[in-house]
Amino acid sequence: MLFVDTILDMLSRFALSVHFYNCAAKEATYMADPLPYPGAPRWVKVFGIAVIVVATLVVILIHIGGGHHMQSAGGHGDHAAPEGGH
Amino acid sequence: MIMAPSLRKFALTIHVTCSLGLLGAVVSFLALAVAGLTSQDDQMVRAAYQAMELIARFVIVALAFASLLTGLIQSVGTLWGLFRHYWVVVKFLLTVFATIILLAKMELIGQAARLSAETTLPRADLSAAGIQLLVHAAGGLLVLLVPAVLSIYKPSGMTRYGWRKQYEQPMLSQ
Repeated sequence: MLFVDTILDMLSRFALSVHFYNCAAKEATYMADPLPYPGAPRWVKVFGIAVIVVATLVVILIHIGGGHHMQSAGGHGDHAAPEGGH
Repeated sequence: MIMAPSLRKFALTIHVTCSLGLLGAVVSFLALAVAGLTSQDDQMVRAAYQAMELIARFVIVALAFASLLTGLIQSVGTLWGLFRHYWVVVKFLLTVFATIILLAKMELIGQAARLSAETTLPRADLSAAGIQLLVHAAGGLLVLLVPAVLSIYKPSGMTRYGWRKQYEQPMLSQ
């Protein structure tokens, strides 16, 4: 009888430990931090650099060209109306 | 709110139609800009600039807004989202940029059309406007080709917001 009690006691302890292990594992699953953000992919960085380069070139060209000038519609005067935008 | 598959396909059809229609309209605008700039025939030059104004006002602007709106619906109504994937964000920003530049250039397009309607064709002014319109049409075409390529290839890469949302949703569903 004592032997049976000992066996049962050992089994219950084992079951408890397994139960607590599972709980802890489940909790770890819930509480685990998500993977760290890997950052922007390479194509985004290349695209961003290309956009910056093109924008800089456009700004430089506009400044070198001094902007576009076009006579206003029906303009018979001698002044040239600066064109809006770029 | 995620759209049902049938509604999603319908919205996608409209979006693709508007976007490709916009590309086609810009190509036709570019062809007219070349014709207006290079033709020696006054009638041809006048017709080109008049047609350019009509196409820009009634086709390109309408399709640009339609493409933007249907794209927004498409992104919000699907799991792609608007700010979750870099390719969607880039596509959205490029379309907004192209639409803003288009609206800013509408005055110049109208001005060129008015100049071309004058009794004596002001060649110098028209060619100045024509060069600008040609450059903007070519630039616009290049800018609009990028979203088309992105839509087909859908390059990987999530934004920080998309990355966070990706982990939030499974947690909420458990």
